[in-house]
Amino acid sequence: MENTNREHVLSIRDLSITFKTGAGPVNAIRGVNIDLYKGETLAVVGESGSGKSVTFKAAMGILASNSIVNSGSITYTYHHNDGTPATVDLLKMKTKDIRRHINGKRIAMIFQDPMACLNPRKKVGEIIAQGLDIHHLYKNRAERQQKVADILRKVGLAPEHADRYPHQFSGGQRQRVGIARALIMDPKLIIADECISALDVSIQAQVVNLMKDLQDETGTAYLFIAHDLSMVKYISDRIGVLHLGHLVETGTTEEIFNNPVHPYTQSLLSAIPQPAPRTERGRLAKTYDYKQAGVDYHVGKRQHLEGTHYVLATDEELAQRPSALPGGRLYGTLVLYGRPKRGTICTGGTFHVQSSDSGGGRLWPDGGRGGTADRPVRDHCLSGRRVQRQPGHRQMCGLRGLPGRVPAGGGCLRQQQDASLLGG
Amino acid sequence: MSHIESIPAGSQARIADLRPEDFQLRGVSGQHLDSNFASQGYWHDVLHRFLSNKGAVVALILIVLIVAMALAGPGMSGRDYSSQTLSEKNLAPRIPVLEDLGIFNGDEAMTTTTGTRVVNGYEDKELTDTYYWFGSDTLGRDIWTRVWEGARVSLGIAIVSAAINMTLGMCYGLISGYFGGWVDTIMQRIVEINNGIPRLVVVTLLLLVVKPGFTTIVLALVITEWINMSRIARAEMLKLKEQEFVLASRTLGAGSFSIIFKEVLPNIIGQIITQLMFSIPTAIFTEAFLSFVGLGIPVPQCSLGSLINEAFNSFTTHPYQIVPPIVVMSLLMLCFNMLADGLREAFDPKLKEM
Repeated sequence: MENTNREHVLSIRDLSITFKTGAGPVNAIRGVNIDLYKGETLAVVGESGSGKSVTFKAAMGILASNSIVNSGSITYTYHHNDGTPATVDLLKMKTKDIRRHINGKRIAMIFQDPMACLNPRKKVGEIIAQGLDIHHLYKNRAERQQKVADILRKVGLAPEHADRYPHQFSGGQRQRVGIARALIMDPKLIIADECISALDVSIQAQVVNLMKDLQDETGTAYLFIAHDLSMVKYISDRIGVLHLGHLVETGTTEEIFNNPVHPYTQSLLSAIPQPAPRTERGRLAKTYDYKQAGVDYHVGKRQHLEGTHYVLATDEELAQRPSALPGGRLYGTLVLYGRPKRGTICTGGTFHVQSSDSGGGRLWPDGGRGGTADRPVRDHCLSGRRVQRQPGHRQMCGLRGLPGRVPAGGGCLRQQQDASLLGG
Repeated sequence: MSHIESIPAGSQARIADLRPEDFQLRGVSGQHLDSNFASQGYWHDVLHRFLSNKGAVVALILIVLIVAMALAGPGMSGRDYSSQTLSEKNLAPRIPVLEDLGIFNGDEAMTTTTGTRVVNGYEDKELTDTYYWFGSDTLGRDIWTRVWEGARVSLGIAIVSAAINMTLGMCYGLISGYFGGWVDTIMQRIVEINNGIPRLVVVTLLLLVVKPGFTTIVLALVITEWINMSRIARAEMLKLKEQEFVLASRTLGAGSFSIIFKEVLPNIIGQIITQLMFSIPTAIFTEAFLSFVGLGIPVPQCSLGSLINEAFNSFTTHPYQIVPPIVVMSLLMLCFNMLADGLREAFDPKLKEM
């Protein structure tokens, strides 16, 4: 559901950037469309080299000098003092204007490495107030001190910390300083470039919670560039998946996590570890290789699935995929106890069941994606819920939302031995 | 009262039985600020490391002494550096208190065709109350005064030219390194052309145009020596240009020159100062070399090099005349080198990370 009364902050349309290198031109990103609304968090996920950072460096005007913008626009919406909205194309602005009006003041960035992003020779107070100094946002030194002290308190440090040097802080504290440096300018948009990747998990949680609280307080929009999907699920409202410079899928968090359509997204989601050990044991990480999958991103178009869920696919590929089923989860776990021999899951695809001594079972899909007859798709499982018993069959599970052809109401596993299941 | 108490003993409370009112906030402890590590500055660490290097500290003390003597020395003897007393020429060193011990009493050993004999110029000329602490030269000028006057001139030339080199070379190297691209290419080609011209040629050509003097020597030194500093500045800038804090400054809207001089320069000031200290003995020696060759400070002014040049002629007959300027110059160069070495270790960034 397109929420047209939400306010756009940043709108990237059909952006393509190429790098000139010694080895020839390298496509960084192609045809990227991103919308960012006020006060929400958009996460852009993808592996290294997928072009995540390039997109937003273009918005900040800090692209490398050997880059060419082939096409596209980045529209930034702002308000004049009297409240009337105005838009400007950031790609067409001169560097001087971007530096004076956009950088720091309207769009700020937080970086990945907390050790390297702070100047080791400057005191923390100087680092935080750097934006204020550049844009002359204070009248006298007392006001500057006050602003620095306020923002330090807000991010969870003490005002006395302003006199210390970065090397006297821990990683999480340095990242807070980085956040303070971005926030003191009160920007409308903060680009967080993998800002929690270098921290340990408990500190990640602290920093992310801090960012969420600050977002509630100030209404800043976040662009979260990440590759940790479980964290992304926690904080983001919408997600965009980048692969090899193409935006393969976008949508809200629920849409993407409940119904990932693109095989790359599916492989990413299947790689998320589950906290429950039994479930985790049966989790199968789906593999996806761009070349072997026979997919060509260049011929795909941006297809609308439902709501705000878009995927990059050709028409034929889309026709082969199922439409989204209401509710249901895609991946879960089924562990087979006992020693089932052969069986079929009535999903429309067939699976062979092979017993193993540990009591788990292995399902060998044939004809399905990701596995061949020779190579089992590991301890993979399909989940679901119990459905009513059917005479003559062992009860298994209702399988819902599987790719393939799933009869609503689930299927069953016909097999000769006992099997029980663990809910996913 | 928590409803958990209503659960009969022996049964396990399930997670589903817990409710928010079963939990009480124990309290939030305030931030604990340590006071031990409040503000450990960069220079504080540098000073600490420098002071633990004994050789560098001794070198610094000696330099300070020599500079003090260069400032105060010429006034101590009561004689002018250029006034000639031809009747008192070629006198050996004679120091008031030490002469009673048998050394520095005006004796010198003269080797003649018939053998070595000891001659005392003071006794020959009946100068009982005249003391030349370092002796007098072939024109009857006091070597003590001339040595310290020469040290003053040499140090002056060295420091002025080193300072100009530092400023010029640093700015040039930083700008060339930061902007890169064709700016860097052009600037480095200019450097290479400059580097290809030998120093002696530069000085000679310069002397055709300008009269010899203090400023000419400084100019000659600047033209040939600024390249070293610019190389170091450029190398450091290339290292730091891609650091994330520089990128962070750019995203905050800092201009190029602001980044060069406020972000990057404080990080490389250590290397710059070290190179400055290294360039001073180079300048002293170069000036001495030029004076020795005859292209240096004109008479009657003296520098350490010109003193050595003049005393060279009477080296075999009156060796004491060449010793003071050589000792002073050697001490200066050695001490500056040791000081620079100590500074380089003190500024060493590898020890910086904690």
